Amino acid sequence: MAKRKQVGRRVEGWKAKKWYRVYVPEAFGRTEIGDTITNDPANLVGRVMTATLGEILQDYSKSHIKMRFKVANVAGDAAYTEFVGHEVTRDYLRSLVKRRASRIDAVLPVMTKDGKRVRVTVTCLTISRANMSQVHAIRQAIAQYVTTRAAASDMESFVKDIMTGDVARDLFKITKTIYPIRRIEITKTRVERIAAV
Amino acid sequence: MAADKEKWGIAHIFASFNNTIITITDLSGAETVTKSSGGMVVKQDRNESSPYAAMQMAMAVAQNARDKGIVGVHVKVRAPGRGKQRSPGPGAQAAIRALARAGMRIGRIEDVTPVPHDGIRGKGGRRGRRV
Repeated sequence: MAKRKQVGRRVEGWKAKKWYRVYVPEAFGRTEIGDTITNDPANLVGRVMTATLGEILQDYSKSHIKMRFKVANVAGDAAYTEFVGHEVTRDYLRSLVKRRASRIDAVLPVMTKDGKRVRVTVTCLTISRANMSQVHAIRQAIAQYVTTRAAASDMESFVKDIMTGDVARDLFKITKTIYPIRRIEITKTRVERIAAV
Repeated sequence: MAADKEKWGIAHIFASFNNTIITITDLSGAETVTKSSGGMVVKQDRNESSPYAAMQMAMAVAQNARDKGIVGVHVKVRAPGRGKQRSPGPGAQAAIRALARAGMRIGRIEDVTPVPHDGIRGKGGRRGRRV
């Protein structure tokens, strides 16, 4: 019963709602990623929109990266967002994982220069199965590099470097001396806390 | 306002072996545009998950969404997951096809089944399901 009432109210309320355009942050070129609807702009803040990197950059080779943006403030019919994380799509990651090879995951809470905490997940795929000691060495090398790299740059440029694949490329160079690597990918990031301005 | 532009939404399709639920939301997933489930189109409980029911639902949902200005959808398919089966039920395929046939544009299709990293013990006990 209660459910029915709610449905009726929502249909009536649809016309009262307004559409808002959602923009990505300046660092990603302030492109529009879509629309969202609400009857109260205050409800908009905190909503999370997902867009693929391919859509944002008009580069279809990067459509396996999902970017998450959280609405930070609303001005007129435009909503401005901030980056809260990214993730590689599940089908892409599963296509990389092969049998008889190691998959080395490293989850690293790092701090950027401007005091933002980012949790970075790196997945490393070897050509054949690695020994545990090699796995540990690779994970340690990854942790060390990512931590220093994050500490040297502010969040925006750090995230940009991840998206362009710079960080992954450098990690590849470091880790391949320990054990033959097929692929290394930064599969996930999450901005944990945004420091007060 | 931004009414002249083509608007996209997300079609969340939950397909289990007992039912199919289609919910179309805006891109943020916070606002529901329209939704439908098996029980709204078929009489018998056991038909709720059938491809036919999914087709009917998708058509109704597409019609409704178009009236509200949504021209295309990204699809997020989901099976029960967790401790249960991880492949979507029979309604998922039919629902996506019917959405496309009903004139909705289909963007990316993604599997969002919740997959545990460890998981719980499967149902059925130590000696399995005894029929």
